[in-house]
Amino acid sequence: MMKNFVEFDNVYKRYKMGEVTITAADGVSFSIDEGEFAVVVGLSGAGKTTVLNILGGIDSCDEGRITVGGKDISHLSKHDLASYRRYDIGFVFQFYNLIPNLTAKENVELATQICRESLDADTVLDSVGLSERKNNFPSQLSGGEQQRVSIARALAKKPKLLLCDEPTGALDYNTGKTILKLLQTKCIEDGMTVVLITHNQAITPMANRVINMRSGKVISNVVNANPLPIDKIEW
Amino acid sequence: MKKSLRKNIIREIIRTKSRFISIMAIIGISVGFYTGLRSASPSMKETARQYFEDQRLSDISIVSTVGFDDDDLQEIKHLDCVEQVMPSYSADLIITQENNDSVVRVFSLPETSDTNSEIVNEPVLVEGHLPLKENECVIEKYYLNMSGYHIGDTIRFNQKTENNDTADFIKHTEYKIVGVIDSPMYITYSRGNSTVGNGSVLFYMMIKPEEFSVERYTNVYVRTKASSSGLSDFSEEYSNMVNRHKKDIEGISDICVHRFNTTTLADAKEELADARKEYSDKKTEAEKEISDGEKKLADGKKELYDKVTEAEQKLADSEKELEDGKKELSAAQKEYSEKLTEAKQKLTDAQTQYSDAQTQYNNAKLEYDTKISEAQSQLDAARTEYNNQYMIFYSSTKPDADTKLSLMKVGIDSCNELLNKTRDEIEKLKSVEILTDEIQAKLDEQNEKLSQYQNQLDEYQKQYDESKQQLANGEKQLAEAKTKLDEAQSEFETQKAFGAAQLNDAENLLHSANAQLETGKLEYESAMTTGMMELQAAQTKITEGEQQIQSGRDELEEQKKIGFETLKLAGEKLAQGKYEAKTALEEAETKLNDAQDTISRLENAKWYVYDRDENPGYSGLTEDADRVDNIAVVFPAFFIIVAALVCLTTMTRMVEERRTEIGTLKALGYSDFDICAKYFIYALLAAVSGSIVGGIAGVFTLPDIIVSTYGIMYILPATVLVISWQSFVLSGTVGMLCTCAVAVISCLKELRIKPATLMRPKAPKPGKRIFLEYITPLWSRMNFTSKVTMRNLFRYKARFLMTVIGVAGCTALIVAGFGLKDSITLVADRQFGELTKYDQIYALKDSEAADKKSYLMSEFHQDKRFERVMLGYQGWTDVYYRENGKKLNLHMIIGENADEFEKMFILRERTNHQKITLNDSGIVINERMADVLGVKVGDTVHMTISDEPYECKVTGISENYAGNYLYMNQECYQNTTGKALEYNIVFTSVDDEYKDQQKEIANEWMKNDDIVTVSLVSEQLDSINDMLESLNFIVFVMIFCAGLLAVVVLYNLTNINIAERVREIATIKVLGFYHLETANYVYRENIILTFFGAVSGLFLGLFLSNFIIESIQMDSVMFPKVVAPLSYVYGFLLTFAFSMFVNFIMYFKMKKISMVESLKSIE
Repeated sequence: MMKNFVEFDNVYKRYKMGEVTITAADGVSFSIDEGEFAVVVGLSGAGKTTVLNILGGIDSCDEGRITVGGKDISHLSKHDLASYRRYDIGFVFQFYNLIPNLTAKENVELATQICRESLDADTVLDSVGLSERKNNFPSQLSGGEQQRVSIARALAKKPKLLLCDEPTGALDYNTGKTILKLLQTKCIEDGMTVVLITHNQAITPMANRVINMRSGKVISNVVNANPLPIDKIEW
Repeated sequence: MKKSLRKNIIREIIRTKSRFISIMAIIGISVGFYTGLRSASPSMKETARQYFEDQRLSDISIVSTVGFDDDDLQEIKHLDCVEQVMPSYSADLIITQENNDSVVRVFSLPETSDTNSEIVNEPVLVEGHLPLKENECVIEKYYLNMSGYHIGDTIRFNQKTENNDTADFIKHTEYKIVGVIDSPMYITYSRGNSTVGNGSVLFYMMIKPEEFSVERYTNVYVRTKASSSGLSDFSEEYSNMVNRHKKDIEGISDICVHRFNTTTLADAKEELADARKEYSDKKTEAEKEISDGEKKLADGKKELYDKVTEAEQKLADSEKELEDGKKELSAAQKEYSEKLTEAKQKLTDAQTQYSDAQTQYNNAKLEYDTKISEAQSQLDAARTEYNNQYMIFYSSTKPDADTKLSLMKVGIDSCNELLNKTRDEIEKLKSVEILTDEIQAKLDEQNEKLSQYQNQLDEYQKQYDESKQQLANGEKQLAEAKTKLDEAQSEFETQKAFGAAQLNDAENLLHSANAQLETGKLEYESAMTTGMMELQAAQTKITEGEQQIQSGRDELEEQKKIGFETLKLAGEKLAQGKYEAKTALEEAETKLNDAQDTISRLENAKWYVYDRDENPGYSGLTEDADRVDNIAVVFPAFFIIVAALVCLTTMTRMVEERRTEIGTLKALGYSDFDICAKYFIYALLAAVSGSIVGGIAGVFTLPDIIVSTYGIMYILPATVLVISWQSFVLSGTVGMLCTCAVAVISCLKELRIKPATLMRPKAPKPGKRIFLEYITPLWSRMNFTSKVTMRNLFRYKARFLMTVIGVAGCTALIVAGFGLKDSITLVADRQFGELTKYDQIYALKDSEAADKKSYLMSEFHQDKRFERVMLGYQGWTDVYYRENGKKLNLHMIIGENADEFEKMFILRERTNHQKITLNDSGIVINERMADVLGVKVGDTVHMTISDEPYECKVTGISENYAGNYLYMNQECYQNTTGKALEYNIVFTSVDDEYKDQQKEIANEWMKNDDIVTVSLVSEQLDSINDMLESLNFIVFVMIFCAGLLAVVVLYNLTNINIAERVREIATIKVLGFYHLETANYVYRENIILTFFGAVSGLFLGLFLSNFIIESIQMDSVMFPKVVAPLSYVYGFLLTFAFSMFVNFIMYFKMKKISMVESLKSIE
């Protein structure tokens, strides 16, 4: 297991909104080991989504250095970034972002068809417990099911890193819990490195590592030696 | 309005500026195109109208077969409807340039009688000044530019125009050009037809009215209340009013004509009658004188002939005598020569006999001599031999033999002694009587010796006898030989003497024969000489006779010549007198006939009242303007439909996008009106600003382009722009309705929903299985992206339809544009490539007689550069079908030779190319003309040929594209008109080899005096191409605008497509799709939609093209309804090119879609 699999080194990101400059990432530095379930937690506007976006290769930083698995991604070209997203990253969105016109299976296939080594769509969907709903369109699925499809789509690519942006944000408590459990299981069983963003401080005990952010800065980076299974956590 | 709402609107526009601009552009292009094109026609008409008004173009022009006088003018002036009357003169005269006779129409310069009214038909002075002096003129600008004439040059008229003196019309034959003008009477380049020369007017000019030598005005121009009423010159009301005024004027024409008949015409008739009487008196007198003279001449002639005959008879008698003598002489000559020949033959025979005898004698003599000499020599040899023998015998043989004999005698004697001695002994012994043995042996021996000696003696005796005998024989022989020799000698002598005697006799005979021969010869020669001399004497006599006859004849000839000359002189004198009388009479007759003609022309006096429609330029302009208007209605209307559809889609989409905002505003308590207002105002702003910008752009470019394009065909001042506000408002309103109404309607539709629902994002349209998925073999073979594309295509059916219709519309517009161009191009190609197979038209001098024409035709046939030559007739005729229906002025063509005609004029039906054959019972007209007149095969049409009305059945309608033609054959012409046809044209087709030398050939032939003009089909083609070029230009404008529309429509539709799917695109980008893959994901749909659109656009284009062609047909040109395959290809490819261009632009837009922004939340 690689130490400092993900490493942020003094990363800055500024947005110019007319005359106002917002510093979304203000010298962010942290590291995550391989196979860890890391939770980035903070209030709205703390800069956690910015960090995730930069890490996911869908945004770029203005300053600093980011390495993933030893590869520097902070200065990649647009095309290389696309390749990085394609082969290294799995993204789970708050609003699932499924293609409404494709069935659950096809949504997964949308991801697998562009990867070199991908998992079989059916297998992945089975593993997230959606064997029965493979041929349904997103509109025919519940929110939790849609998020599972989204996770399946991310996992099917066999990414090095699974990034989840408030995956439970649009879900009810129980459904949210099952989704988190699924993610934790995948992390533990498959050794997948998971970075999860949430504003919900309550779920931090399930993580191996908790990074706390405020106003674009990392205020703490704590390793939890004994993460609790999600079932044990209540909020 | 609330401030925040206003801000919201402004922000919205700024935020979605590409959408705003594309709505603006679509509406702008449509409105501009429509308004611009619709303004072209009114602008054209207004330009002309103002020109007409400024130059005070007459409403009505009147011509009369007899002209007008001041009384007529007064009559016209007194009519209520008449505002102004201007009398004028005009004449068609002929000038000759480079062997080419051309007709020039000479007008009197318009002037006014009273100073307070303006000039009617005032020409526009372009350069120089109007004529001030008597022999000055102004000529039209167009011709001046074309011909190379300059101000200061002189126009020279021929002394004669057809049969009239130029001086009968105008006072001078030379006029100096002092100015250049344009007359409102001529706004096209067609100068009309003439009754003189080659029938077409080359140019017009104006001179001072005083220059005309005709007494009566030839034309009257009238301005009526119609033009001062303020009605548009091109309106129905105007033409109705002018028609009424025409009727009024036609009404008074009868009065004027009657007055003319009773005054001027009656006087002329009286004069003619007097002149005719005088003429006939003079004619009788002259004829009597002539006949007297002729009689005298005839008498003299007879006398002379009698005398000559007598003399000739005498001569002939003498000649006959001589002839007899000649015959005798020749008989004598014949006899003489026969006899002579006979004598000569005899002589020759004798000569031959003589020479034979001579030869025989000679031979005999020779033989005799030979024999004699032979015998002599034999004899001599014998004598010599004998002598030798004799000598030998007596000198040697006899002595020898004598010696021997003596010797032998001795021997014999000795033998005898011995014998005797021996016998003696024997006897002695015998004698001893006791014969002892010895004595016996000695006796025996002596006996023996005795027999021996006896033998020997016998031998000697014998030898001696023999030799004695021999000698005696020798002597005997010698004696015998001597005897023989002597005998021979004597024989020889006898023979010799006998031969000599014979020879002598022969010689004597010969000599006598020779003497006879000589005598014969002498006789013959003397006979010959005598005969010859006799003959010669006869010959001499004959020659003398001949000479006598010759001299007699010579004398006769001389006498005859003198007689005839005298006669001839008398005849000539008579002829001259006759000719003089005849000429004088003819002249008088011509004058009488002229007077008669004039009177007969004057007799059926008639007025022709024309309105402006008779002016080809005027009606052409109306037609052209209407045609432009037709295109302007159809094409842009379709354009607007497409634009409206696109705006509709765009606005619907826009309202749907703003659903949350609408919900929020509603929840905040804004009224429906306020909420709707935003979209309404947005749409209104886009539509209005688009309409204004487009309208201005369209109005200031298109009419000008089109009018100036047509300006090539018209002589008009600078374009006067007339904006078709009606069209602007109409198209603008359509644009606004499509945007504003749609905005409001979709907004109200959203507002019916509860705000709470509205604020929640609208559930994306659920995915659905499409029917393709049920076709498993097909679906399972499609790759993943294709499947996605197919699903997307069928998910948004409305958009699918809109895009397809929008693209189809653009393709159709492009195809129609190209189709129009094809059709226009085909006019010339079909007409001059397939139908018109002649190259040149030679117009012949009208007055030429038929045999002269056939001679000319043979000359044409001899020119090997022509492939075909045909004599024919070509003339103008007016044709109409219904009494008040359209009237067409067209070419009537008649060919002399049906075979050649068929090869030079391809008459066939358009649809099935079936050949149409001319027959005696009817005419063939072209398709366009049939359409315009509404005539079908079997109908009977009315025709006006040389001002006479006729009727004829239509037996065929032929394919034809340019010009209107009426064909018939000679028999049909005669059946119809009852007149003989006078051919006036030679149609030729030039051999392929010389096609490029047509001009040279034409120029060569122009030198022939019998040819008036040549027109080349190639030049006709050029002028038609010029005309079509103007239309072509409009087509390019259309194609350009259609292309522009295509780009905007495709941009807009793609834009909507992308906007709708920003999240989807962002998502797949996050998934790691590269730019190109992302673009493909979207474009695949676009390309398929464009494909469907383009394909259906091809069909739509055909319909649109046919529709437009139908509405732009001209009276004289038929446009084939054809769209070339290449035009479909162009339409298809251009649509795709535009689509690709739009996709290319969109690629960058898609690249800019931010993943971060679009993932934030659902809008």
